[in-house]
Amino acid sequence: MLGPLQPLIDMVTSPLFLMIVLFPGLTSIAIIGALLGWLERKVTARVQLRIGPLYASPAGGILQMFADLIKLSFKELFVPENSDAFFFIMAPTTGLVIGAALVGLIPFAPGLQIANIEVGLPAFLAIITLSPSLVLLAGWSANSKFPFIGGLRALFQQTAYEIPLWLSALGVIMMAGTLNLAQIVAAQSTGWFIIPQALGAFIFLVTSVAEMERLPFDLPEAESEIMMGWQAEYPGVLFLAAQGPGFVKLYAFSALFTTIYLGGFLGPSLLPPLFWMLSKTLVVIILIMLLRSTFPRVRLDQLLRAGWTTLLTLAIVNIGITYLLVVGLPTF
Amino acid sequence: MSAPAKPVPLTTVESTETSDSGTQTLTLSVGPQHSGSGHMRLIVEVDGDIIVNVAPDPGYVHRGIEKIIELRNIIKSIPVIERPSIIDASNLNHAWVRSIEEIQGVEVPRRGQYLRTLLNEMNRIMSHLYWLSIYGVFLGHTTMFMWPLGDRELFIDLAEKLTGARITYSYLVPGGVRRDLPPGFAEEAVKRTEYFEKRLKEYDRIFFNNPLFTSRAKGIGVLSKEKAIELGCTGPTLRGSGVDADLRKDEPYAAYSELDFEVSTRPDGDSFSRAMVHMDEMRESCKMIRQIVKKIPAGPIRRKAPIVLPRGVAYGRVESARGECSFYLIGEGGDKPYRARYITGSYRNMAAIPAVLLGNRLADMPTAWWSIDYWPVEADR
Repeated sequence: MLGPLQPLIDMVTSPLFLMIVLFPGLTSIAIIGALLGWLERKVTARVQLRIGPLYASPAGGILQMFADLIKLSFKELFVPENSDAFFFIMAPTTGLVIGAALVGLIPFAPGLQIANIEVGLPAFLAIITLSPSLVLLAGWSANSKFPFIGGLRALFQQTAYEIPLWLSALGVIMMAGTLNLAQIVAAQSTGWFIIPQALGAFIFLVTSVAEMERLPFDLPEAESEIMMGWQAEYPGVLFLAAQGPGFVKLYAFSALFTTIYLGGFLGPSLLPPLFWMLSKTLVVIILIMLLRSTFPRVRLDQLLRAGWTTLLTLAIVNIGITYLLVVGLPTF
Repeated sequence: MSAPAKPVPLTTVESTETSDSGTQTLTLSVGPQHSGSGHMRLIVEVDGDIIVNVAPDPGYVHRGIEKIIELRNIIKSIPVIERPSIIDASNLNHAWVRSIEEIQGVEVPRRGQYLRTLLNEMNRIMSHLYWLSIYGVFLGHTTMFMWPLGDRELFIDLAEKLTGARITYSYLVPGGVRRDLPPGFAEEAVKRTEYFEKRLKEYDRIFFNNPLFTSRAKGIGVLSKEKAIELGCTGPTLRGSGVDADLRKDEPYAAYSELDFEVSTRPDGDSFSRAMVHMDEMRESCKMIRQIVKKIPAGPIRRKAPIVLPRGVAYGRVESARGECSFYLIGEGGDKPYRARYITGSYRNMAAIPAVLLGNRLADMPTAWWSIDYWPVEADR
């Protein structure tokens, strides 16, 4: 009876479709992104002896970000007259797509992974490489001075952190002997990589915070210097689209950090693997959020110098250490 | 750094100048809507990332207070005089009543002098805390934005107990002060200042000893000793450049001659030095508040002063939180002054803004210029 519709029904009820639409796909990304916005405000408020969002639900204002979403979506969608409208709208929305694509590569539990590709880790880092270019595109297309400075800063910043980020991830690849994220998790069943890769994990954390453009590396949007930088001209829903990738990337990077350093979904079998994965990710997220309330912003030249000297050297040292750990002392 | 600021025509906000290499400079209008400015504008010309020209553009909050004073009774002027810097209200008020008392020849009772000093020092802490919170957020440190504003409440509540008002007290009147100490004030003041000194140590731990902060503030916005004197700077800006000048010591007024305190100076003249001068002054003010509540003599708080301003000329000045605040007052026998010239610390320090910004990076602009503690409303009057 359902003959012609059968392929459609099969598709909608297939596990892959449900994963893409529900968890760990789009719906969950949107909800988690909004909840992270709330969590960040609560964590920061706790550090700063404030209360934070309180009234937008009985449970400590947990719906605050949803209220903000509704408010922003009713704002006028105003595209500046002299801007390049296509790129102005395209840049932040593409940013959202990229953020969501990152989550698709993460194994949240055995089998709970949208794209289990052989080159999972390099693919993650390669997709994220696009995002500073989009920031530059957004800043340039707005045709305004402060956004343009913000866009240029994003590109400069990328040159500082990109190489140490890749090199620190190389340590993990050497330890695991694979590029596949699910197999990297499996390789950690004897011990989490954060112990032999402590230095690499530190570099990875620092550079990924720089990639996420979060304090202390929020140079492209430095509010007191260049007025939110590349985001300055975005109204309403587009502002949401410009802000959103920040939280999605925070989620994706914390999940990746958990996957490659903290043993991913591995944990005592008392509780399901998904619980371990999400709780470890939450710990990493809160750690990154605490950086925001503890450090002032760095300057671009300081970041570039640190990236090209300290971080790069440490990353190479880390590769050397890993070589000794994996291969052992060379025999002559 | 040493190049003098060439004046920019105020209408120029487009990139015009072409340098030798054929590249263009970019002129940015920083303010009054920029989140790194106050109610004022800085027209900043950048060559790449380096600031090559700065023109401050004040006047957005000019209220004509000098004219308002001429049309009012000298007592009714007190709330008006506090407006330009409500975070430092009592110090401004003090300069006004000092100049009136000088013309009238009224002697203030010693208890009144002590109470004036008490509120002045509380106000200095409140003003420096406000400054510190903005300094923190200009550096991108959100915790340093919130903590000082929260701790400022300690002294706002204390001032409310003393004067009945939280911000603009109108507490100092010609001849003395309006109200005496409420019961239990001394214990409360000691408790709050001691708690606050503990908090200052926490500020050091999270912010001032933070290597990221010191690398952003040290060596930025250098104002040499000679330059600071030449530009006529005053207050923490001058002391941050290593000049030991403080009216509380040099020309003691109120009860300052009977109090034990030190004038903090730092030799480097950079953003960090000026920040540390502010921190030191808050510690000294805490000590002074405790000394005052301990040593305060008994007696009347106010002597009757006439409501009219006799014929005469006076120059009353005090060390406000942002430097020397002074009134040049001319009386002609009525209840209104003939003329009152009103100059505040921020106005004197405005000349230092281009000097600290030139040659720095755009990213260092908020750090450098806010460290001279320029309060636009106070400067515009």
